[in-house]
Amino acid sequence: MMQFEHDSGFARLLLPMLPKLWTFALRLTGDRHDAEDLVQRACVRALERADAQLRPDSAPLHWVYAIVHSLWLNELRARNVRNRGGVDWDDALLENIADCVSGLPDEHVGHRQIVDAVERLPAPQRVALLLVAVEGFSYREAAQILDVPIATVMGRLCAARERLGAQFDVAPRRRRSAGLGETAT
Amino acid sequence: MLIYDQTLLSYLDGSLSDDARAKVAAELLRSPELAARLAALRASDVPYQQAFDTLVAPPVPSTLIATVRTLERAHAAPEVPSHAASANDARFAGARYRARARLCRAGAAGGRIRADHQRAAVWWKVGGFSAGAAVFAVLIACAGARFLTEEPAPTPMPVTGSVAGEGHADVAAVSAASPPEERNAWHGSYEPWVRAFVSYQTLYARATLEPLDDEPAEVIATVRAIRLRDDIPIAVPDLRRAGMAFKRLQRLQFDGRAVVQMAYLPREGPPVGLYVVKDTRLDHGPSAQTIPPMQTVTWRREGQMFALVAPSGSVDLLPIARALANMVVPVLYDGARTLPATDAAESSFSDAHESR
Repeated sequence: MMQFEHDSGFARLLLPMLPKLWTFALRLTGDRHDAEDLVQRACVRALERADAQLRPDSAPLHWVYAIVHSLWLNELRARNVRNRGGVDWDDALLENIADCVSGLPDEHVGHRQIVDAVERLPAPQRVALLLVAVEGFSYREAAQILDVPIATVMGRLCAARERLGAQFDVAPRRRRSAGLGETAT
Repeated sequence: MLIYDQTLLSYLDGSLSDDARAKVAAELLRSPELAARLAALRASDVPYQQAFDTLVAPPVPSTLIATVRTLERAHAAPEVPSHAASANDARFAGARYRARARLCRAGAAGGRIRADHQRAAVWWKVGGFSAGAAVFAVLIACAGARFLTEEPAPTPMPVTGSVAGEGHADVAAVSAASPPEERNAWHGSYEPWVRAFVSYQTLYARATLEPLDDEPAEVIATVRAIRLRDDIPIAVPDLRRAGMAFKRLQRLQFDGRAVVQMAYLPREGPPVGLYVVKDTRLDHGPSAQTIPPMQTVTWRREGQMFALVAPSGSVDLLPIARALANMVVPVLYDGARTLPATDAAESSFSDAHESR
């Protein structure tokens, strides 16, 4: 598939991508300073490597997501973080989350509860879930971004969902297909 | 029977074949353990996306936008005359110094940024704005030879980036030698182009354009440069009557040819893109086509191919396209005028330019 030339075209893709990269980085890091730093570094690295690495048949957005993710992994390793599980969200980011989906607290898992539970997942499971269930990537795209086989992505996703399901399974829910597009049988 | 995670997820997604689905169903009856896992997976089917969407997403920091714009300018072929570029450099050197220092500290190759900045400036001086496109024309001419080399040539048209380092003097010479017609003339179906516009437009969200201000001096300079160097008689239409505010003009390159993108924001909803390329074939009227997730309307007039692109179902493009094709839309910028109307003059502005 034809692409805008990487030379000038790729640089021009960065600004349009920025809102998505910013949101992803925020969700990944849970901290706006880390997120800003991360996106900046990812943009610089992407521009340096676009000519050499960005294949004409690959989607630029996915490629930059992959850079954001790998930079963040390195950052976590460098920091040698103790809480390998989730991230600590800025309280400011969380304060406006509605407590429940529809005003019927008994029926649905609250947004806040979902976000909290996802943030407590081990990092590989959390990222897999973010990419597929929140960012909306296919398993294949998520595998490309994470640079792992599809089976690995699905394994992590499965583990994440089993863990989350065990926490959420407290009340009967009626909107089964809202999150992951399960089709009724 | 062992049911893999992959199979179980596919079972939930409903993407298994009937055969495989039946096997899983049978196993579910046999194995309480598997049934429990499936129950947990079902219980985990909550609206993740909505939950995360309700997070207070702080807007993209203005410092980040400024940094990326600077990076974009530094890495892209220059699109503004040198005096404007130096003004930007100065602004960059002052206001953005801190951010760049931070980039350097982060080990993000600040030197590289500066080097590219200089390269861009040099390009402007020697080859001007069309240098990239000119190199392209030459490469197309010897494309056969290039395909014989060991170098991977992923697209039929090699990218300019691969030859950028070969020498500015050559670029300048080539640029001077090739007439505009040769640089931008092209033939054949333009569907790949429209597809490329669609994929580019997909990246645009309202949030991308909202923080941008229409910068008249920069737009006028770019319009002039495009008219002069690319030989595209570009004009930026004023679509305020259709409820759309002009946000930005960009000169892109696609397969070595100049593509002009004008970005507009409707009062609400996603942005609309107007793309223009040089195409000297016969004129034709607006014709609508859907290329998911976008709707497009293309037409040809006075040596230019136009494409309006917006997400399907957002804005009715056809009336706008007809008005544009019939030239009953006022012009905001055509390079010849000095400055567009200020806010005070806005009311009379449309009528004053109606003549075009």
